[in-house]
Order: sequence, then structure tokens, then C-alpha cells
Amino acid sequence: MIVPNENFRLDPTRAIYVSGVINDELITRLTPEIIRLHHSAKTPISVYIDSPGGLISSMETILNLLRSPSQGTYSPCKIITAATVNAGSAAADLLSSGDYAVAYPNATILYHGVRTFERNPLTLEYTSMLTTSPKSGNDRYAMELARKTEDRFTFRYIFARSEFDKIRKDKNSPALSELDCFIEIIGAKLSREANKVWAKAKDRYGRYEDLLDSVMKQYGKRPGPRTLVDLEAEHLRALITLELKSNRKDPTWTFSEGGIERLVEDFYLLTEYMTNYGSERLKRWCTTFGRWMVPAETLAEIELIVDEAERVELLVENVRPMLQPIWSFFVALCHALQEGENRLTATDAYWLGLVDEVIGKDLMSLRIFEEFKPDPAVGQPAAASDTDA
Amino acid sequence: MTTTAKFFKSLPKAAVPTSAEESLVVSQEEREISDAAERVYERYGTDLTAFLEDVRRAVLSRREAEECLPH
Repeated sequence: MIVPNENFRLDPTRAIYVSGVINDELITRLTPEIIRLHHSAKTPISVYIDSPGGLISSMETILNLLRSPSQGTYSPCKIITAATVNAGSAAADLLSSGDYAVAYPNATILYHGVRTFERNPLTLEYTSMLTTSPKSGNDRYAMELARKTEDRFTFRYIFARSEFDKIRKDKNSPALSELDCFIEIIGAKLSREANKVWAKAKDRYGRYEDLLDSVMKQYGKRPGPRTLVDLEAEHLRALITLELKSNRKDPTWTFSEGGIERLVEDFYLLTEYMTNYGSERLKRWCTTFGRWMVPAETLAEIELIVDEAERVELLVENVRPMLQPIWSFFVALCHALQEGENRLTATDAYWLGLVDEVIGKDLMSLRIFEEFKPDPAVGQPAAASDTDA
Repeated sequence: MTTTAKFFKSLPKAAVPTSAEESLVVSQEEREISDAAERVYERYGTDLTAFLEDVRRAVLSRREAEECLPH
């Protein structure tokens, strides 16, 4: 049966409505409402969104207000966001920022890169800064988006795994990797527009793999790094080698004419990849869902370990290499969402891990996962034999 | 163990970049999900197919019950 849990349910009686352009006027309208909601209860606040977007700074102000604790309490209310009709640009970011994010079935969600809406008089220095700030802004927002939504994407992956064997069989490719299977499965569920962003993510992920491969080869030739700065120096050496090798046939290529920008971009890409690998959140996902990912015989060995800390560590050690490519692919996807115009349906947003749930669609969500309570009276013996098997 | 996993395992902790913004606090929602995962594992073991089938039935049954309610 399904037992409703308020942490995952929209509640129009404790809600704010983000409608129209997100700007200072909206902040003025919403601030008293948010403060009242914080003081009246600690239960989640629903944020209904129908907005083409607006100023990112205003969206962040609203988000910060929503996430503030009230006087005398330290934990903020949970935020459940919902795209009702349209969530574009900054409003799409707000949607994905919810602790739980929902889309109405016909909602449209638009992601694109940072745009600068000028308020200040233009000076030479300022126009020079504007040429670089959207790029660094895109990267920053891509990483923020990844942090906000990585759990959703991982959840998609865990439930898509039950289809991997079928994909390998259908494609007559038994050696297809887990990530390749996942890419195939999700790609088949996306609209044509969403498949464009999916393809961009695949290209970017390919670059991560090339970079890591190049760095690992470099390590074989020198003593291992002792500190982070040693590691960064190794990265730079490896990346310079890779760039030189890739551009050897181009007589016009130089570091000063564009090569240095690529080097800097790749350096940060690699850092992203490695930061994800050591992530505590990734570790938590390994612990919570790892048992459904490792082969049965490995799991049996792990479960024989009596010491809990040791058992968890071994589980994480086995699951992390499986989840890590998925997370890195997801980071690549978040970057791809910041390039060009990406107009998504509610269902696309679900499969891309940008929302948790589409109202009225029978798609597996964290809400259902939590709210479903197996009926102990029905099928208990059968379940026990499943476990034994 | 994959080549990538071996590579990361070989790195000393001080050389692995970490995210400064990462929260180490486990939220109520994360605890609930973790408990739910425990329940599902205890009941269904490693077979998520059986779990998904039971979920589908439970969702359908709830929807049918809601449709019977007077509007």
C-alpha cells in the first residue's frame, strides 16, 4: 500500500506562487509570505512555479529566504517545487533546487546558459569582464545544477538497471558497459529536443574519459602525487602532453592562440571528475543502493563481514567504480544543459534527473519508493524464497 | 577492480580533491530513503523486478480507491 509522506507531497495550504518574471518586485511580494510560512510550522513549503525566468540573483535571494531557518530553530523547512505550466531559465534552476521537485504533465522546462541583463553603465573594463563571465557563470551553474540533482539521476540509473540485460540482448552486444546501457535506455525515452542535449553530454563525457586516460598514463611514468598540488601539477603535465599530441598535425595551433583556454577548461573538467569520485554523497548512495548493484556472490561475501564499518567500506569500494561513470556523465549533462536552448517536456525533465516526479505519470520516484509499504499479509513466503534465491 | 578504481585507490587522501560545499549532515529525507531501502531489501532481496511489480499494483489500487470517492 501507499502511505502518504508529507516530505514528498505538495501542499497548497503551505505554498508560495512564483509567477511572472523573477525580479526584485517578486522578492518584495514573496518575502512576507515566506517568513509567515517559516514561523507557522516546520513542515515543507510548496513552491508552485509558472515563470519564464528572470534574474538569477533574484532567484537565489528567494531560494536563500526559503532555506533560512527561523529564529530559535536551526533546520530550514523542506522545499517542494512544482512546475505548473512553464519553468524557464532561472525558474528552471529554482525548480531543480527543490528538496523534492515535481512537474505537472504538460509543463515546459527550459534550460540555457547564463545571460547577462545589464543594469550598470558600460565601461571598457566591464565589457571585457562580460565576455568571460557568462562562460565561468555557465560552469558554476552547471556544477550547482549537478549538486542539486545528482540524487535524482542516480535513482533513475538504479531502476534502469533492471533493463540492462534486455538491451544487451536486443543489441546483440553482451559487452555493452553499464553506462552505455543506461545511455541507450534513457535516450529511447527522451523527446527529439532532449536527445540533442543527451548527445552533447555523451561528447563531453568522452572528453572526460580521454583526459583521465591521459593522466593515468602520465602517473605510470613518475612517482605518485603526495598532495593535491602535486596531483594538479601532474594533471597539467598530462593535459599539455594530450594537447600537443592532439594538435601535432595543425601547424596553426598554439597555446597562445586558443590552446591555453582549452587547457584551462580541461583542467577544471578533470578536477570536477576527481572531486565527484571522493564525494561523500556518492558514498551515501553506494551505501543505500549498493546492494542492488554488486553481483550476488560479491554481496554474499560482503554480508559475511561482521564489523559494520568494514562491511560498508567494502560495499562502497565495489559500488563506487560502477556509480562514478554515471555521476561523471551526469556532470557532463549539466554542462550540456547550459549550452544553447534546451526546451524539455516534463517527462524529459524526469528522465534527465531534473525533477523527481511527473504528476499523473506512473514513473518510479523517491516518493513512491518511500511511501510504498509492502503488505506483510500477502506474498510474504514468496518474498522470503526470492531473498533466499 | 577497474583501472580507474585502482588509480583512485593508489592516490593518498591528501591528493584527492574534495568539494568544500559538500554537506556531511544527513537530512531527514535521506534517512527516510535509507530506511525505505532497508525495508525493500529485507522484503525483496536483490530482485527489484518483484518490488516494482508490487509498487505498480499498490499505485493502481490506490488510484482505483480514489476514483471511487465522491467528487
